[in-house]
Amino acid sequence: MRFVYTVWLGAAVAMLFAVAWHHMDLLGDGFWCMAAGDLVLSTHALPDRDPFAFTSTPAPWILHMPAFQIGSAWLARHAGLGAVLVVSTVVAAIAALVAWLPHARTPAARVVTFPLALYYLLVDADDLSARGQLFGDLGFAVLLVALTRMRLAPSAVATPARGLARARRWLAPIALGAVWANLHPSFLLAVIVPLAFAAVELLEPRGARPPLLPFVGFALAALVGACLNPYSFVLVIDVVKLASDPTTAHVDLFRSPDFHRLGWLLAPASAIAIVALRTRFGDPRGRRADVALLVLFVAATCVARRYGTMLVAVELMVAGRIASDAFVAPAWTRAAARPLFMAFTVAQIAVVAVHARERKDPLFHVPAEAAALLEARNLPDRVMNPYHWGGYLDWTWQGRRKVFVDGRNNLFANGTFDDATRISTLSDGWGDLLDMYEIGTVLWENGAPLDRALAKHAGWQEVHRDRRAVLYVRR
Amino acid sequence: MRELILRALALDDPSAAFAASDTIARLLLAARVTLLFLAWLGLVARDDRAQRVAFAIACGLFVGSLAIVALFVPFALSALVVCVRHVAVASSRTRFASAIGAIFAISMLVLGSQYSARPAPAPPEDVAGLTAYWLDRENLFEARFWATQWAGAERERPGEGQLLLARIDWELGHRDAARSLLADVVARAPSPDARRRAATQLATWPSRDETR
Repeated sequence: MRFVYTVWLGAAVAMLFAVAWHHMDLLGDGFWCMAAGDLVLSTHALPDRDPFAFTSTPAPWILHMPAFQIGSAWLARHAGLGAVLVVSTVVAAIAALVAWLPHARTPAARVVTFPLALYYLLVDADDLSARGQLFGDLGFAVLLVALTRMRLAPSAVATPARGLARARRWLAPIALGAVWANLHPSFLLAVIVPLAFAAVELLEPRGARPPLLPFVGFALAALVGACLNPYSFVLVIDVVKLASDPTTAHVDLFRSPDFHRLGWLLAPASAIAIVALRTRFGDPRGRRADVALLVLFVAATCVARRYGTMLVAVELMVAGRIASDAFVAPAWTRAAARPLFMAFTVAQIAVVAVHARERKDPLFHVPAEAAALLEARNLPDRVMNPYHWGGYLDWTWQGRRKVFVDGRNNLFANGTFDDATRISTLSDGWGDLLDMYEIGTVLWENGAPLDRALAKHAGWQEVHRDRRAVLYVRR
Repeated sequence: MRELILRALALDDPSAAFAASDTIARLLLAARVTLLFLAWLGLVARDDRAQRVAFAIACGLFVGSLAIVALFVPFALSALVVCVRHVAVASSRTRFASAIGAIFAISMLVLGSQYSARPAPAPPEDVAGLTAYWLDRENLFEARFWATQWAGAERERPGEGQLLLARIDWELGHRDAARSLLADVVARAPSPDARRRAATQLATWPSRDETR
């Protein structure tokens, strides 16, 4: 039986990798990260001004994920864009594994929580792409493991440690903060979430709650670690500014998910189901804190879909513990366990076989042909481009041509971000905005509202159209 | 308050999905999660069959109210039923925990909504103010748009608007236009100070030959 379970687990892990690969793409964010990394690799220095856009603020430009940006650029240079997709797939799948396996400790718990682990990858599959956020999700999964250990082993944490154990207790959050801060701006969660854990533990009866100071210490140590980056504490301050920048709230990722889609509604629904289960099952210790955490992350997900993946990670944390503590497979399943495991394994291997054969075109979602043609035909400067293509144009033009806007939204908080939205939605005065920004060439999505409007506009002339993009210049 | 009630009733678009797009929506979200948490505390305090059914209905309506905002009021009422049944039997300790939970949830959400809702300052209404506003926001294109109008308004008596427009044009690479604007100020400005500053600025810019 153990062999059958091991084979199933292997197939389940392989399926997570296969599903991550199936949904992995290379979109604008990944490209502008590589563009910045390429710049660092070429100049052997951190940039201080943005060389990619003609509308960005001239304020100092800080790389918010230096290790990811430089690392992904290095990887793309030496092994190609396909390698970036492969590494990103591995990171996404490992994040799912870290969110799942440490919390679901028994075979039965792993079986019943596997669909949730799969959902962890699928909840925001449309946005699963090669970018620093994958490392942010991995960091969050690691953080949950660390904080769960602190919650469940209060006596061990409270006991004064000596020597190596004591050093490790402080070094772990420092290392997490340092690595996370160099990979993605979500490192602030390594500071905020431990404090939130401490806050929700206050809901527990005094005798049942773990000591709270270690959580505060963890947060402070992670903050110290976060300052271990090329910009030191300046990066931390800049990321706080980024989080509170008005443009960030308007980025699609930081807006509410579409709850008319069943895939998104499942995230709060499964959280509520776990709340109901937690009421009756699992260790009574930490029950209120678990439920408060779930409710908080449901609220966060309702505000911004960025937190959807994190909500599912919290669900896995709570559900894994409930299942490990309380789930006993019904008697009838024991008799049928072997054929059930085998059936699941065959289905999982089939999914792996289908997805593993997929060939990925890293340039599938970007206007590679139009961007190359614009340069080759030396079309007029000051190019108007959609927000989500700016990153690719940064990467492919390397500053030779400058873009109107890209995914570094805080650099466009000078009104450009809002104007880009007005132009793409054809709000009143969109044509005047093209004049005001002295746009010489429009590189836009084939079939988008702006494309249709310019096709009928006497002042603009179409010079190229392919399956993805169109190019217009002034008549 | 009236707006809050109208939005809670969702009369304008009952079938819309929930979106935390403004402060009122976030307040309604805070109300949702607070009521849900209080209802859960109510279930824990009085775990009988009727309470479980009422809590299950509240949970269903909570999720439903995210997909169809018109279900917010039914959800709120069902959650209140669970809470009221709880209060009838609650000990002081569970009431205390409920209060802490409610305050915690509300404060987190309201703080969160304030945190991410920092708006850009409102622009002034006069062209000089608007030019300065956009220069301050480091958007030279918007600044140029307003500076052009300012300079146009002082066509007969060139002055500050034209000086500023010349500076912006220079920054944007319209070097010849910038030079001719300054030359115009030197030649025609009624203010000696403006003429002096234009001449000084012109002298500091490299000549056409040098820029080539």
